[in-house]
Amino acid sequence: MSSNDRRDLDLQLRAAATPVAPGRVRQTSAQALLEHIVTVPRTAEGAAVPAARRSHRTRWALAGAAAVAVTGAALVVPGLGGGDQAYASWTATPAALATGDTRELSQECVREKLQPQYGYTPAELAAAKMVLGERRGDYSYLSIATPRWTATCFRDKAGDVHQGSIMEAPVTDAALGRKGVEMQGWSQLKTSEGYARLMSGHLGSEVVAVDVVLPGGKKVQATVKDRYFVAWYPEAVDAPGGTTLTLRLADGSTVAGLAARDLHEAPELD
Amino acid sequence: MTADPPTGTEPAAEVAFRALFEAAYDDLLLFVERRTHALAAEDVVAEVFLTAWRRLDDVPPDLDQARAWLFTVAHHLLRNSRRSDHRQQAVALRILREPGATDSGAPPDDVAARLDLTRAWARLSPGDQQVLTLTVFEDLTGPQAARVLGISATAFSLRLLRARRRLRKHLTALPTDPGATA
Repeated sequence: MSSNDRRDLDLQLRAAATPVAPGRVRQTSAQALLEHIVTVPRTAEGAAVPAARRSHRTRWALAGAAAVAVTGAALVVPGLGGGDQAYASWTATPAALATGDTRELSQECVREKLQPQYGYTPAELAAAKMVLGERRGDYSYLSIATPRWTATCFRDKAGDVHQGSIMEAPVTDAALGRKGVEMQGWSQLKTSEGYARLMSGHLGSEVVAVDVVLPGGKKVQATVKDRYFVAWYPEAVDAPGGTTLTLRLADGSTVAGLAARDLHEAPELD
Repeated sequence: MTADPPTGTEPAAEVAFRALFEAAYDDLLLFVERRTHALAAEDVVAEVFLTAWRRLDDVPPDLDQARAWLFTVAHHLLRNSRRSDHRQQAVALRILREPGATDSGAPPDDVAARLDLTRAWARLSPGDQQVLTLTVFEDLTGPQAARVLGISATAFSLRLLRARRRLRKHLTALPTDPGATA
């Protein structure tokens, strides 16, 4: 296709498009939004991180809570295991994901989701620093960490594979030091059973365990191996924020109260 | 005379944000409307601008680059939303043109051509529609569009090339309008 053909085709496309009204920024709703936003403290949530600590890397994955808010309420209200609730077989304590299941889920996820959408390749998966999986009830979940990108993949009860989130340019082991933590994945996923909060991350050298503390106080034990962790839990679409992490260090001490969402905005470096 | 800035907010940041909002709101709203239901679009736009306000230090100072940054944030919000809703396979981009673009008074032949384009467009995959929209309607450079999608510029160029070929193929494969040949 020549450049003239391309230009003609583009012009045809533009001609076929439906025009919209101009100057919508001047409408009342837009101006009200602007006036509202500039009253919001920039020091809240993501902006709480001092500039000196803020990474300039691109973080492609965004927290999903706000995003799903535009799509309407979940049809199924997720619970935290038990009874006839959604995700009934989910457990706060994880089990290991078998090697074969880890391999199968990661390969399927790259082939069906990550390669078509982001160009991430099976070769990069094969050379990954870590592929860490866990099982909670009927569900399999894992993170893939390569030097260039990280991604999470989830297999639901029906066996369908979902890609949770991606992030590019993870920090190095050295940057995390002894007790740092980088939240590499922090997304809300919807399956046929409703919403779930997925997380994954990279830890300092002295961190041996991670507890996820939900706003109501319930603890979810993360799977931790060789400085990486994964965890997930059912979470309603309109669930309040406030989930924190507690890091348990090799010397028996803990680092508590790390706001999960803040960690997704910028890592806690040691 | 200017209003006092909110406590904890430096005036320069507010001035910069207001300028960004005024300059990019229409484009961002259109970007979102092309990709989701119009009723949900304003909510997404609000979330994107709130993110920009909180992460103003990360927003490129150049307006063109800032616009691409906002598109990237919106794209990922929408993608997460679609993924959560299992609607990823069903999303088709609406072809909406920005205000001020030439149009109006098209002769009948052009109307037929538009119908053909619309039908050919509908046959494209959402992925093809995405790369074409980023280029043709949103006027992003290849590297900017690649960044929105989280892929390399080379991969984007390849996708764009293939999308254009498929659109052309769909156009030529459309059955002839009986009304036009009578």
